[in-house]
Amino acid sequence: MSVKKLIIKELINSSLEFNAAATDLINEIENMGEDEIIIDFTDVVFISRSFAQAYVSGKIKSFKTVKEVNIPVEVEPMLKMIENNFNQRIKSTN
Amino acid sequence: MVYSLLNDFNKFIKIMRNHDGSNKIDTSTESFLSPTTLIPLLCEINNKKIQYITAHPNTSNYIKDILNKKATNTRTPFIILPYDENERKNKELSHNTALKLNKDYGSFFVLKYIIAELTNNIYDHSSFEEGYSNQGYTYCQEYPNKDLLDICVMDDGLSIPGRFKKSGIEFNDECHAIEKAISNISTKSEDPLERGNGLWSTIKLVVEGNGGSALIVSDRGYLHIKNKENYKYDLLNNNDIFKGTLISLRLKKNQVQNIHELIEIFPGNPYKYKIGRG
Repeated sequence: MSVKKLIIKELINSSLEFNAAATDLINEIENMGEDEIIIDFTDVVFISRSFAQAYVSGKIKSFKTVKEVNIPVEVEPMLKMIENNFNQRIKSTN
Repeated sequence: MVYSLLNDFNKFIKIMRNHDGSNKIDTSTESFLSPTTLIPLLCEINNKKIQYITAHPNTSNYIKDILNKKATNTRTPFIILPYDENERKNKELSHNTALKLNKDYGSFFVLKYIIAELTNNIYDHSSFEEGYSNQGYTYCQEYPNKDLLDICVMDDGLSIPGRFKKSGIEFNDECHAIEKAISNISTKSEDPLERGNGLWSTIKLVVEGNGGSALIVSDRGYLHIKNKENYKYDLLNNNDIFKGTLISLRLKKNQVQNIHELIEIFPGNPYKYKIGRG
């Protein structure tokens, strides 16, 4: 399996605010040749709900394997909250 | 003296109703202009190409500072939101705006959350690209003597009812459209987990989490929330005076606790609109 690492701060910036940016990121991931993408969240200071929703939703729909590393403590609760919401729904429909 | 958010917006309506259509606007009767009065006023001044503002002695320098986008310890610069997508991404708007605010109001995260969600809504729903919106604005003002912080975000675009109409979402009147907008309904996705969560969660953080108040004005309708039990919907007589959507939030000087528990799941909209009035 081929793997690519992306540093999200360099691709977008350290404050992840707009859902359009998340959508663009997912589209970029879809167009990559690699099967697994690792998103490095080093130095990210904020993630908005809108960004997190678009990112997690896009990640779930993607055929790629997308993983996160180095998630800062300021960012983890929002990302986890959104992932839990989607995961709860997947569990209840299975 | 700090009046209610609705009162502040009605001041703007009063000033515009008294405007005679000339290239001068008279605000001299108002010795104090809060963001909720000033931001829609500046929007109208820009749209109608009004060149002169007559101001009360108390507000003259204040208005000049705002127009020159000056910030102080108690207020952010008046920001006109950038059209260009890359410029928007690069500016880290919410983060940089929140850095200038007193974190005792809600918390640093809550301030960023509010500004991010409200500006996201402008870009998502107001459609600069489609030509519906001329401008989006943000401005924040602290009243240190009263321990209050006002955050005002507005655009002169399609409005909530306008956007719903375009997307085929039915509603009875403009207030009903506002009620739907804070009920996890989105024109962008039918999936309630994907979209439609920014506005209700922002209101919840401010009103229930912080004990603050909120005002949403969109097209002719408004919702004014003083607290969870005390709120009012109504229609304004503001044709040709106000276009678009204004959201003003007034925070108290306390930190919101258990933020993520508060906003995790949409619990239902507690602000019910009785069709017809209120």
